[in-house]
Amino acid sequence: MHLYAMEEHLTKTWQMLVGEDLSFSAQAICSQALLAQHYFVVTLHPTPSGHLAGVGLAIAEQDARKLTSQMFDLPESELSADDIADACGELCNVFASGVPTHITDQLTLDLGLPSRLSHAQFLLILAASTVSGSYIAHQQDRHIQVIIFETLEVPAAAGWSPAT
Amino acid sequence: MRFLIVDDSRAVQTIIRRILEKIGYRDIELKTALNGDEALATLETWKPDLILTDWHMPGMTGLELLQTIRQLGMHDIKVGFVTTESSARHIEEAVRNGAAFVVTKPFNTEILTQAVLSVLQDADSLEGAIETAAEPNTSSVKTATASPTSAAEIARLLSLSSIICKVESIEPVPIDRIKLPYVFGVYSSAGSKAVDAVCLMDLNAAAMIGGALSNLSAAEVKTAISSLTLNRDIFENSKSFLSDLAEMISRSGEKRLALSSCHLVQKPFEKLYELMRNNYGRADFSISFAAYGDGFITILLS
Repeated sequence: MHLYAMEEHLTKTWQMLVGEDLSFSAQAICSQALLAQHYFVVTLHPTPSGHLAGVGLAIAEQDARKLTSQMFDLPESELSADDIADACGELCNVFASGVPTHITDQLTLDLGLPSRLSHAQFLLILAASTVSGSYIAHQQDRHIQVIIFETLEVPAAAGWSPAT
Repeated sequence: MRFLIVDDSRAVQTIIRRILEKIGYRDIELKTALNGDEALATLETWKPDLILTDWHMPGMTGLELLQTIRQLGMHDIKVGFVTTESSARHIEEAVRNGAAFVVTKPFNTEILTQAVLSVLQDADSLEGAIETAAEPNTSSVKTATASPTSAAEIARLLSLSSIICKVESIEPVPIDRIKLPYVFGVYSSAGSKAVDAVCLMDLNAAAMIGGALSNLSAAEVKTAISSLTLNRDIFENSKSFLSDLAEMISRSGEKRLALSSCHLVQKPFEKLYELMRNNYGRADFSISFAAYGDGFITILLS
């Protein structure tokens, strides 16, 4: 999958939603960043080969709360788990929209709805899928990781079906 | 002004709500729906002026919601998309189905504000606002030789707000010099729907006067001019200037006029051209600010 200015899109999205300058850069998958608290996937389909593609997000609690607080305009102490899931799902959705969805005149990839996954589910899908890109925002001990799945494979053991 | 926000993310609903509340409408009613079905249920008892909907939602898509609304005969409700959908094919489909705009996420306050203002202050509503303007009117304001106001009076009005600029009477601005967008004010007398006068401010004039009244820097005004957009503050202050102008226009007749509506016109507007060709009094003025450049104001008695 060809990516166009994905780093810029991720950085701009975070800036607009959170109001914070946090640079995303293309890097190999970082195991430390995968030790996050919140995991989401948005599907993209159908690819030219007919496979499911997708975008994954791993985000730590600290960043998830910061994002949610900004989006809902509420102090972090008043945020519910549903609020955080809602905001992180939307972040993953907007991140995914940066993947070029117009492949040819005949084919446009449709974005699915964001799905929340557990750490175990995310790792199972990561192990089974083909990754074409990985982007990480580092700031001190904070890590946000975005993974582009060129083909998204969902093993039965994951116990999850993509929302489309 | 009534808005219905349709998005399966409450976080996005909150962001859109916040932006709409800051646009500055005096009376604003806002409702939200998490999906198309909820939106349609709301529409059974409540009619918004504008629906802002996401595209990808559980159940029906935003496009299907738009199509359903049209099938139900609700053609007067405007629908705009705020979505991650960015493929040209989908956007064309939305526009073909009557979408007023498509704002793609991520967006900032300015982009969404401009989209909303362009829809709710566009030439369509203007057509209705000056419906009677093209009709001959025997009101006392209209005499063939009426002069709406003078350059000195406009300069004096601006100086009251500590705005120093050069105002000069000029020859009538030809129609082909009028570029979109422009600010358009409609004047009527109290209790009357008839349009007695209109005032057109080109983008430069509106940005310079509105920007000066908003205490914006020269750079910010130049940005507005080069981006062909007016932010809310500039627009509201342009409107305020046009409102103050009413008293001067009133002096050319016996009626006391007031600004009845003000629009940011984004589309060609045929009735304006008719009025420029056939009116009962006209005055054109150039407005020059040393730091910015020139703009013009045209006042027409209808």
